[in-house]
Amino acid sequence: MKLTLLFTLIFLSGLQVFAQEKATISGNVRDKSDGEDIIGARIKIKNETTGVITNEYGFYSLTLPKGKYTIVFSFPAYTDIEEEINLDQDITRDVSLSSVSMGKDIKEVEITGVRPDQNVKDPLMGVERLDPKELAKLPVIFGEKDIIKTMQLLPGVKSAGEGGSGFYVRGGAADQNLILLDEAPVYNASHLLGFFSTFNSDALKDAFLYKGNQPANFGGRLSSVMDVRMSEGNNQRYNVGGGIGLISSRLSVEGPIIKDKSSFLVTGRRTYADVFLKLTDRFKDNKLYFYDLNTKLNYKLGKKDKIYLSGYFGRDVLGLGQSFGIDWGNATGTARWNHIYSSKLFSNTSLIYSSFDYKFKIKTDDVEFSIKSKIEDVNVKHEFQYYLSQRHRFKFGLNSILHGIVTGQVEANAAAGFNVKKLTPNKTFENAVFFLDEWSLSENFNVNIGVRGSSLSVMGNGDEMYTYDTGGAVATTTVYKNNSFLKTYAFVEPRVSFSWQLVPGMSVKGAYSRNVQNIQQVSSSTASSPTDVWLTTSLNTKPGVSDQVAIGWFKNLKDNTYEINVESYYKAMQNQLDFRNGANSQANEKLEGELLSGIGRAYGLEVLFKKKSGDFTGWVSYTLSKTERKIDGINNNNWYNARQDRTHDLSVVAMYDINKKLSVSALFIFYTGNAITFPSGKYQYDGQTYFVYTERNGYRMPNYHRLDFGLTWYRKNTEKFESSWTVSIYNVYGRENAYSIDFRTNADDPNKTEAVQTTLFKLVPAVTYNFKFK
Amino acid sequence: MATVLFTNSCQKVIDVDLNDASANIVVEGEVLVGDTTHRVKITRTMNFDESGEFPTVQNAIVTVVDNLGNSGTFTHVGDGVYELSSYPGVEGRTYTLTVVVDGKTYSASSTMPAFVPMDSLYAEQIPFGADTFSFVTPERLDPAGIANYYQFRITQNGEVYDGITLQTDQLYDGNTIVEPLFLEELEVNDTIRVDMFSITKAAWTYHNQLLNNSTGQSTPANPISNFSGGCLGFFSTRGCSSKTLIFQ
Repeated sequence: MKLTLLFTLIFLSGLQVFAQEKATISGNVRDKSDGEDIIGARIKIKNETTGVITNEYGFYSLTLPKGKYTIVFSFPAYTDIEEEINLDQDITRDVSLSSVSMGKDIKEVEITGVRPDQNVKDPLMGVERLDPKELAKLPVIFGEKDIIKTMQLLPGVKSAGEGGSGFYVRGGAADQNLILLDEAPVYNASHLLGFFSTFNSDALKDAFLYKGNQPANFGGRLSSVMDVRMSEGNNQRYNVGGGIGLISSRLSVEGPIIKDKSSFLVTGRRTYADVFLKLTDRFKDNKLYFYDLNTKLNYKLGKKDKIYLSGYFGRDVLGLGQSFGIDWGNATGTARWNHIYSSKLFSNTSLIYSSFDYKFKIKTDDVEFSIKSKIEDVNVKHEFQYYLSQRHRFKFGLNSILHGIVTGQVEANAAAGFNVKKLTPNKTFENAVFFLDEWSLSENFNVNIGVRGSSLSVMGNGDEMYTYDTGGAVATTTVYKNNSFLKTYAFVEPRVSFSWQLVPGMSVKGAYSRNVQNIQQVSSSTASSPTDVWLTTSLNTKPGVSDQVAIGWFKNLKDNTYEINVESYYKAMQNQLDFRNGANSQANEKLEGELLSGIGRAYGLEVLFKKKSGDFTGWVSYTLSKTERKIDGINNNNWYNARQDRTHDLSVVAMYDINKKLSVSALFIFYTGNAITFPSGKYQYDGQTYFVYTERNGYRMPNYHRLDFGLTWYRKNTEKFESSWTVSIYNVYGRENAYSIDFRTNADDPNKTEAVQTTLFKLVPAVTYNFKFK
Repeated sequence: MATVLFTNSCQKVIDVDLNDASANIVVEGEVLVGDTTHRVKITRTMNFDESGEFPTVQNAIVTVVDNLGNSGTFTHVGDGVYELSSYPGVEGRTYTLTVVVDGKTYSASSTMPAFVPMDSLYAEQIPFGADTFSFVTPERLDPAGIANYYQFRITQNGEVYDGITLQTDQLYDGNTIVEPLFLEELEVNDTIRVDMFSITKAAWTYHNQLLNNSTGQSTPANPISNFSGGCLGFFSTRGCSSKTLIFQ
């Protein structure tokens, strides 16, 4: 049905049936100072309210009845450009907008045109857009700007806590977030166990977070999509910039290869915490560092074609002398080709590679062995965007991913006495086709409606594959031919969301989505770690499925200076995995037999109050929520709180520009504790004291709260050079927040047991010097 | 990073309001391979904030029977410990232990797994950065084609090591296993005794859950007992092979 509609549209536009009465203006909107494409710039007829916006590559297409118009091009914090056009045939117009802050105070300039009221009009709900430049002002631990930590200050997004990597969106687990860097999935988005993110803010242009109601062109995870886009590199002039901090430093180089046509960007970052360790006696042979490198290259082949290449490589290394080491990291590469077929039809084709691996090794005098796990994706994506009119923008395309996973590949020398078996990667082939329409039914009613059809095929790999009985013992062992198709799961994922502006500046929104997740991570520990196992849907494991419904009320006040967003959601999940009691989870080829599966549900209320412009900006975000699981074999088959269940979560962020040279910020976070399992009694077994547990996750960790301060001093800003100092203080009043609570026998009196709380950080100051040669 | 962690992190004892668990009994039961003394210990649980020694059950009726009908009765020898001798444990037989306490009956069954003898035991020390690692290796030939599970008890200079040590043969099936057991310290003339138990998979799963609970890394849960009737504890049928060495 939908396919027929599709072909009809393309056929008709090819015939230029509409062109008899209408014509199209299309082109590219970019930033004048560095040539970066602007995402979400608005193009409309002066004094009207509808219009179109630029896509992820800065492309727009506006179809109107033939005639003369004044077209306005605008984007927040940039000066509008008005163009008189005579639209008697299709024309292209590329526009460069100038940032308002170039040499002037924001307050002084009158920005005509529409102030940002996207939050009220945009039918997509539960989506947040973050500007990495704005984040630069927020205080962070160790002075490291981190887009993921900033996202955790928004409603519905919870951090994993200190020392934990990952984040939770609307009650989902940490593996339910699809993190994309220039369309390549990043499997492990943090360094050093969660203290730093893999994203170097110097390389980033934009980041969007969809909290579960993502449109049909995204898929593969249940709870969220974090779409991070790297900058292209300044195609006007060269820049060398960076920062020097206490724990890490970063450097970036960008510039034009051919002015206006081609540019590059290379940024790198490395920590040197182990430099301090070398000063100690006990730890001097220890290694502890990470580094990452982002590269970007783009080339405009002509008026209709542009090619982009991006890559990321990062590694964490932990080592104790020569004897023990563990290292892990991501590598991604994306090649993209934009092609403009006509003034209304834009396409992007991407070829993507992504891998994540970790290696654990031990070396003594004669024994040497290592355990390695790796997940590798090869991905082809193609998307058409068809701008039918101001009322309809269609997106349709396909996405195919081949996953290969090896878990626990042991390599050892003969002295270790191991039976080393060379494991062949488990292969699965994931496919999706999608179609969506951004449909403006009227000026005040906008809909984003789409459907995604997805499938996952389990493939043979020439190696043994197992099925299990309900007790977890191996039921069958079969060898299937390499690349044969064994079992295919198929799903239809409807995605609908609407926004209805009741009066100007106030709207009601609703959304429903179904999401399917074929690749899940199982963790045997309470904190997620890079060594948690990734598993795909298989002969034994079914894909995770979620159905999420959300409604919201959105209001802008005082000419869009203030924003109030209230959203509520309910999410039902199927095929959620966890380990059996006493599971053998280490380097176990038959790991799937150790898994149990069940259902989950999560619901909550999110409130955001935000001041978006002026010298003083900031927001207050509050979330009230619950997330539970029910898995047979766990907690006597009853519902229990998921580990990340946290009832109240409050973040207050304030940023104040004192003058052009100085800005200060403060951040206050409060949340009630995670659900946790505590003992109810104790007993002795084999001479040791052990504890009796009643319900799973029936207790709460203590409340968490802290205050951070930040200060940025913009010291120099000339034509050729810019510098600034950032100072931040983490946990200003030094609260001892609980990282863990352990129960043990008292060291002096073994007949007594006690609870011991560990705190990771009290007050931590940091200073960073930032510079840029222009 | 580590320096910051060590200088900054701190620990303190806190009060946590915990519910009381309903009282229960704990049965630790064992039948070993060979003509030796088998032991069963029965104690009671306590609430978390109670102190003192765990109360023992001294008036239980403890009996065992195998699948061929041979039975034995344990006698209480003091402190909640019950012993049975002249009842040889045999590989392959299924033993059922029945315990009656305060009018309630609890029973568990377990099949005696294959007995794997320890071939040799040696101790070594290797440098590791600025530290030294000390370990003992209980070398044995693992039977090929069957899944073997091992549990260890280490006694150093008369003191038994705390904690649970387990190994499996998933990487070594059919080979001579040389997987080491780590020692806290080792000095010349130390006497080390290692008891290596060949245990069942159910026993390995039970002890692995206890081990997970005590590391604090994973969500703790009560391990699955093989006793029916609702008591805590486990009945383990296992073989024991011991060796002692004096470190030179």
